[in-house]
Amino acid sequence: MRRCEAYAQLMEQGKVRAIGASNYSAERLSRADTE
Amino acid sequence: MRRRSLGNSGLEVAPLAFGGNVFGWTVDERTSFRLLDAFVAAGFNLIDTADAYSRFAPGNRGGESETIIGKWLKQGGRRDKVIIATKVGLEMGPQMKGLSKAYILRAVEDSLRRLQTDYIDLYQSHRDDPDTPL
Repeated sequence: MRRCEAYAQLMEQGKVRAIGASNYSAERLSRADTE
Repeated sequence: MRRRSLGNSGLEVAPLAFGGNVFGWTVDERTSFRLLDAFVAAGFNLIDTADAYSRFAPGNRGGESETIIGKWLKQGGRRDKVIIATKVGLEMGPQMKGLSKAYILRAVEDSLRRLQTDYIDLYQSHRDDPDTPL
């Protein structure tokens, strides 16, 4: 299951206002944006 | 205190964050409350923590930092005055780590309960999880 589905659900429910990533490589972060 | 936009998150933060990994470890509860009061009184607002803080300290299990922040909010800290950033993903116990959808949905409820709030301003993946698709 994709982790972004969980984050999207939490934002829709109002439990989370924004999401972020710690200790990711720039390459992985840019892929998260496009996949 | 001048606020800055945090990326395009919509969050407006003062330019210095409080690193909450000291709570319940090198700083006890009473001192934590005083530090948070002083931090907010000085005009700062961003408190950064993680569910796993401070599991790295001997005798701790994780959740100590969020628990202290939650108690501080409960005893008079103003929720609307602070931006709470926390994290998920580092090990919290057997079968309790990573970034699967099921685990995130479970871990966020634990964090909300410890923080004694119904929302987290910024929820972060603590580190990448190569076993879960982005």
